[in-house]
Amino acid sequence: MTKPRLKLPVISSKVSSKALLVLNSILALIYGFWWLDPSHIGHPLFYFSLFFGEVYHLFMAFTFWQTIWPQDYNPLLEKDQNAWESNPKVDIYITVAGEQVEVVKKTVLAAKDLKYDKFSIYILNDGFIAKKDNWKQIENLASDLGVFCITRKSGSGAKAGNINNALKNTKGEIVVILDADMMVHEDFLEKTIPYFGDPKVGFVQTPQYYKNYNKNIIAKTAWEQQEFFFGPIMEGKGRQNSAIISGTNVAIRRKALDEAGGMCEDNIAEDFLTSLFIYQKGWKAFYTKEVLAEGLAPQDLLSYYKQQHRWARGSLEVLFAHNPLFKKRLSWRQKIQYLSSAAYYFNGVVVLIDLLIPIIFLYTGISPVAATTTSFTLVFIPLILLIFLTIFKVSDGSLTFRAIAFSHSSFTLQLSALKSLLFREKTMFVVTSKKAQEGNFLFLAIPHIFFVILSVIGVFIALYRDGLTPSVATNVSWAFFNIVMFMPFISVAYNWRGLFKLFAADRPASVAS
Amino acid sequence: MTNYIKQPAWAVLPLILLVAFAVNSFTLQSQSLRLDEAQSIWVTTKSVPELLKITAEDVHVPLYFLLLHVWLQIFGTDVVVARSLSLVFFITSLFALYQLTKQVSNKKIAILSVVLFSFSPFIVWYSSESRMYSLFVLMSILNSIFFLKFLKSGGVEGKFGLFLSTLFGFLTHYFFLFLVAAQFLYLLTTKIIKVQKKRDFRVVFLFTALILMDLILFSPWIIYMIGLGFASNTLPMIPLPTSYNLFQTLVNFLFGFPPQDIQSIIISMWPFLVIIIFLIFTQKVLFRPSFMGYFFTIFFLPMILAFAASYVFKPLFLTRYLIFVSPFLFIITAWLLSSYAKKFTYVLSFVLIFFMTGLLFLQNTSASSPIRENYQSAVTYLEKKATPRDIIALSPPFTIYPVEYYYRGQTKVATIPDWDRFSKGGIPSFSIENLQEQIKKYQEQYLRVFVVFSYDQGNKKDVEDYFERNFHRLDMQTFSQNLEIRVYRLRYDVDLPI
Repeated sequence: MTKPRLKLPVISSKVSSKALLVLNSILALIYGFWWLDPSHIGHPLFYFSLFFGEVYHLFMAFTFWQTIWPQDYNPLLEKDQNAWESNPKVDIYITVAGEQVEVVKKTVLAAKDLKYDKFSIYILNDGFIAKKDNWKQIENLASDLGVFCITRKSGSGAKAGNINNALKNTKGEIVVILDADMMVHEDFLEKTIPYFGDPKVGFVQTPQYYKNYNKNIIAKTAWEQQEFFFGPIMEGKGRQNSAIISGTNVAIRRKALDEAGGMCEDNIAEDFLTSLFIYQKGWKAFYTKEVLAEGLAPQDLLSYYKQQHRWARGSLEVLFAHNPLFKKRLSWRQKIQYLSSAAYYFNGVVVLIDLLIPIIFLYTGISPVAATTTSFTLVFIPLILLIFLTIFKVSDGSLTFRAIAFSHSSFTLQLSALKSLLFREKTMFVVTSKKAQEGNFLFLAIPHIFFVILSVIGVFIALYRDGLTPSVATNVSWAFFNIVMFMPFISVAYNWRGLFKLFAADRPASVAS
Repeated sequence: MTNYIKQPAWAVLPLILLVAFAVNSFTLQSQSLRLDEAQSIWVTTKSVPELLKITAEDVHVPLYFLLLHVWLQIFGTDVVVARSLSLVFFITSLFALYQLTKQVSNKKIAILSVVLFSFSPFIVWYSSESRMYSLFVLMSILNSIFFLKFLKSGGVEGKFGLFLSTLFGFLTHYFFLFLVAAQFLYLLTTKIIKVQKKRDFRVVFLFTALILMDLILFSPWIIYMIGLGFASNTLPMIPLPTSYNLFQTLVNFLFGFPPQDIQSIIISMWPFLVIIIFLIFTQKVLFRPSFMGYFFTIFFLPMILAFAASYVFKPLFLTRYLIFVSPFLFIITAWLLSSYAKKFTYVLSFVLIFFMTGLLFLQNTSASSPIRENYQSAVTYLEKKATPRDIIALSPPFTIYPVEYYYRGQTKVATIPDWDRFSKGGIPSFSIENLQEQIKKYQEQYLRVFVVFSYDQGNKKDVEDYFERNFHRLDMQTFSQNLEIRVYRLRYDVDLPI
């Protein structure tokens, strides 16, 4: 008997009009030319720092518009045309490294309900290697539920190594990778396997949906960021044969994975790099926006921080060690798409520049720009307005201020990831916690609080030095802008006892207690 | 404020009306007659043919002057009476604006836009001025009501209203053409990109036909005006606009005319706009009223067109000429404010209205307010200090209108350059030789000259330098920004009066 389903989760996204994207590009070019005018140079060092930041922003903007540029190609139509009748053998890999037994149990039970003829479920138990106490209980769970369990006793490569180990011990033509908390819908295989009717298809990625997104503000924010990525961004990438493996909820052809050398073990973002290698071998891939599995979002700031840090470190490593621009046998679209995804985490450096410039002015009076504020505003405001209108349209209003504010505030973890990469610090693969961690995480927001204090003192210094001049007003406003952007992040780092009423409504239980 | 939205419109609007009326009445009575107003009163006290002739020579359009003519005939020529006609247009605009906003959004946005409109120091200023701007605003709002009716019905309804409001709009101010151009471009664009369900150009053709008929009916005035020739020296000298002027226009619409340094500070705080953009486009549920794109178009496009025209033809970008787009800014602002969470909406609205009210007070009372023209005080000074043995010289000559309105003294009043308003032709052009000649004559008859400086028509510095180099300055008084009196001694053979 089919279980009755509640309302299915939907990922919001819409197609933008080409006219809007062309208008975006024209305004961006005008904005870019403004920065090329040498008469605008104030303090050269700071001007070129800002210039560098704006080049980065424009690059990211152009790649975003390229991503969402509407195309006739529809992967869903392709699937129907190539519907595969052969029912290949599928191996379901549930990767586990110390997650709670209850969480894993639900994932296995959901997988057992899959509507498909030939599939086997494997718990890839890495609890022993990860030195987690419950590795034995996971083995017992597998036994109780009648599924296979592959427990590694030795080896490396974290999650990638765990999967590669399973590949050696299984034979399915298609492997489906699921994180320990990702409960698949019963039609997951029905909806993804037909794509493999085309013998050139290497993998099919589906969204990483967080069913607990309403639990608290961090889970909500994490989902809002995910929704934008798995909405317009991944859809756009999918349309350009540039989808990315997100590490879970993905079906991969074993042959493609083998040709790519298995899951890449020398990078912390193993999924991202593996999909790149698969493309290099000439495989195609699809992304389908339909939610076919539901998992758990990080529910506390520390878990969020660690997850983001891992993604940042992995992506930046790709940027420096496996730059897609120099990879052979990739289309120019794939190069741009992979480059922009990897470069996203470079944002921390640019945010740092944008934070320092008003502070430097407030303390010293040094201005990087010599032009009138209105000549800049005239080219900047229409562009930012149009960019946000575009984002609003393509995300169908799903991207929230909080999600952007968290991205902005994540500059610290992005800088930390960059530092760890530059100094070759070893970063462990840490599984994102599936429950809210206890404690306060104020230490994560110390740089942000320090910025607020620095800004407030700077305002007084600037007012004492110059009085309320237009330059002081502009820089104070920028400092205030950054403070506003930091508020959601600071508000969830500690129990402020109602100080941040606006943001505190959804604070996680562990912090609010 | 919390429950205003639950009240019926008839309960809320009169309250707003009462406050707006009080604020306007205060402004109306407290301010000195200004140069342009004096000119309006002077023109409208003439016979109708003469009124039309002077208006055409002055490159204006006649509707407002004709209405003011009738108004003054009925109620008298006092400045308060003249200004109260604008107040009537303003009050009518409140209802019209409510109607316009309500038909495309909801009551909350409609009321908020009316409140913002009523408290705008900019609107208050021009609603209590005996010039055409208040009528211009009313025509613009009425025209948009009919335009949207016309558009929504596919050209079936609102034709007559659109036709008339456009014609009256043209007869109120030449800048109405920019509104019509923006409407045309909006209509064309929406049809081309198929925002409307089907690409039906019939409504575009119909609109074009209506406008052509309006232009045909308006053309006799243009022919009449060209036939009379332009009295170019009576026009204010407008500098080429810069990016600063664009932002200043926005600041003026919302906050009126605070002292220049405060305007600069407000403009410099533009990063707040980025926060507003961030907040508005990251709303999970954003109420999208119909035709918001129309309001954005007819707010920004006329400004851009006027800005561009200033570079292509001649400088004509003045904030007050663009007043007809200001109601649409209040609709947009009200929509933005009401898009936020309820508490946030109330806090932001309160803060905005608080600032608007504060700046309105500053505008009406501060001597450094750039818009005030305190001719009344200047004339009081002249009446007190100047004697029949002195002469008063006004620069530029058209300052004669407000001075003449107030001045009851015995001293002769002349202008620099010397101008006889009642002879044919405009103001004679300025030259330093003519000035020397003019002052030489004064030296033969008068002891002192009281030079009243106001608008700079391009020769203010020449006049100032001439007097400063050649004569001993006895006194200097500033009455409002750009209005000062300097007293120079012309002769030394006779003792000065004590």
